[in-house]
Amino acid sequence: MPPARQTRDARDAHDEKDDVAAKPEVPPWVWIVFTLIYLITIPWYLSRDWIDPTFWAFPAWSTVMVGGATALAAFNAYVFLRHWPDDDEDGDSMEDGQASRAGDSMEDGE
Amino acid sequence: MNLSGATLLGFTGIYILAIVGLALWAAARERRGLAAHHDPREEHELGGRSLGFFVLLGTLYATQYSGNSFIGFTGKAAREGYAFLGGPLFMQSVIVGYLLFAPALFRLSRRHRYRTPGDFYLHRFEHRGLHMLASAIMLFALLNFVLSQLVAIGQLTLVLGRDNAIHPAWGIMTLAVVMATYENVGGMRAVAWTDLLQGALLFLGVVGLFFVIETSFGGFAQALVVFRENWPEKLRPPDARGLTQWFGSIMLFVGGAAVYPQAIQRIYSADSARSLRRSMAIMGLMPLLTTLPLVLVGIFAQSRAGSTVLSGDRAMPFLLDLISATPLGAVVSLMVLGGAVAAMMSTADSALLTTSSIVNRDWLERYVIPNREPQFYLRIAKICTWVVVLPLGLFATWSVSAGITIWQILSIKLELLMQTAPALWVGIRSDRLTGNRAFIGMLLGSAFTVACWVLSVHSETGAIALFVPAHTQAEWSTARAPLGLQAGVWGLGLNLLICLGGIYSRPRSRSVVA
Repeated sequence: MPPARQTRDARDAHDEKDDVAAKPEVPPWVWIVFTLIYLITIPWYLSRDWIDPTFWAFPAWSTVMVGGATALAAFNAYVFLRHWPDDDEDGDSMEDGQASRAGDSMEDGE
Repeated sequence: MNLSGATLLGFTGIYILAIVGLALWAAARERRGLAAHHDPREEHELGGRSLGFFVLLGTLYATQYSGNSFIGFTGKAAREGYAFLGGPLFMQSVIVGYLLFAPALFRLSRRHRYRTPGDFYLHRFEHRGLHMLASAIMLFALLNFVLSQLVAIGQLTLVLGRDNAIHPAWGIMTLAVVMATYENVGGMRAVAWTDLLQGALLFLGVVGLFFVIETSFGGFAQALVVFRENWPEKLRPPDARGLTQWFGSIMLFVGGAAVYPQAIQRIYSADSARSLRRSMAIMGLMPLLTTLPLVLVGIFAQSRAGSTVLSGDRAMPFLLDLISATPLGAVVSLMVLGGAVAAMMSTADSALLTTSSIVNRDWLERYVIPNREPQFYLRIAKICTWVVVLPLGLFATWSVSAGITIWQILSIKLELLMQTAPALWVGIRSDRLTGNRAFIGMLLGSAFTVACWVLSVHSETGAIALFVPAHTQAEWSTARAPLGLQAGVWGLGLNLLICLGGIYSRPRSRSVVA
């Protein structure tokens, strides 16, 4: 293999390797809110005798839990819809020739 | 169950015909896709990466909710009472777990045409040992998935067919052959479209069961009264030990259930990020509409069983027997039956497709018989499906006779599967985690988990924990769950510490580019 080709291949492999570790797209404050919701939802701080008043099929303590689970679902939906932006990978935009040369190839056509 | 053999047979026949019809339609679409697509394996394994919002939601839902939701969750709720109301929270944690990696993994999968979860590990870490270990763990979990669903089908056949002396092998082998056939002809498209039908049946079954109990059988508020009178202790929130187990279960679902290999393949199969994030947003609501009603149903079943304790997974069969005595209840029983079978089949077929995909892509293509034509590997994948499903069907038939319960099987596969998560979570964010360190973390986490399972023996019989039915858990849980926390969660902690230690002890070499 000619030296010039070797250099280009090495550079390509390095560039591709750079983007294998990708930025997390969820902002850090989201995890703080998730932790708070879990801390409120899990009944670690409630008295084990707090059964009454009951609401329909639920003892008192479990209404806090079901409420927390509902908040978790709503926040989950919010994060997925607002903090996972559409990006340039939408549609059929796969780059056919852009497989990694690191390790075994991701492309069989190569 | 108070339904005639002819009714059950007719219903099963219609269900199978609908599945086969959908699969044939999907197969026709796959053939068109194959003509347009350059790689037939991508078409077969990922449906040409063209699943839109609706199908994606259906297949994610049907894959995530399995026979365990219907039988295992209701059984556990009947045994534990209101302290098992954490069930919906556990299932919601799966969706939280997706946020840790799915956005970045989706982008990488499009850019580098990943087909299996193993593709990420090999591409990111360039470490064959890590790739093979992750693939082996996933394969173990997948075979476990298929087996547990076949066992569940066998148990259902046993209950439904007891009046007509139908052997469980009939139910197991018939549905196994149907699954393998539609997967062979239509690949991921057939699996996803049949999942959509199966997901709808599952949801209708849950809704129907919930309403018939509330309107015609005294309702869930009445169950609360019965529990207060007979088992007041089961009305309380979990104690310290129970809370520890809740924490462990949340970790188990964040780390284990979110990295189901078949779910990761669905992330790869999405036609766009928009479809994927909308599907995930709705998936976050589904535990409140599926798991929560099923937990209440389990509690209701125990309230109606009176002094008879519904041990093991007997709550749902007991309930179907109870409600099918009325005409409306009989119709709902059929819906539940359809939903349960659909839940089992949809999880098993997805696991089966991913199994053949991993064997083919991660092992055969890369290490055993590389450099062959795509069509060759496609043929191998189809053969692989049969090679996997037929022996597992026979094993499941044996398991049903041996009385292995579903919850037990779920526990070990999740605890091992979660050991693949730290390399994914950390590796997708930082380029400072090396393959060697990720490998050591995964290996030690897995070894610790397996050691705890193997070293844990039954206090009286000396039997290894792995082979003891789930409802005897309390008698052997010390080594299995050190300090009350599942062994796999300890393994995950160790694994994660090793991975994080790797990124903080190594200087940053270059910027991380999105």
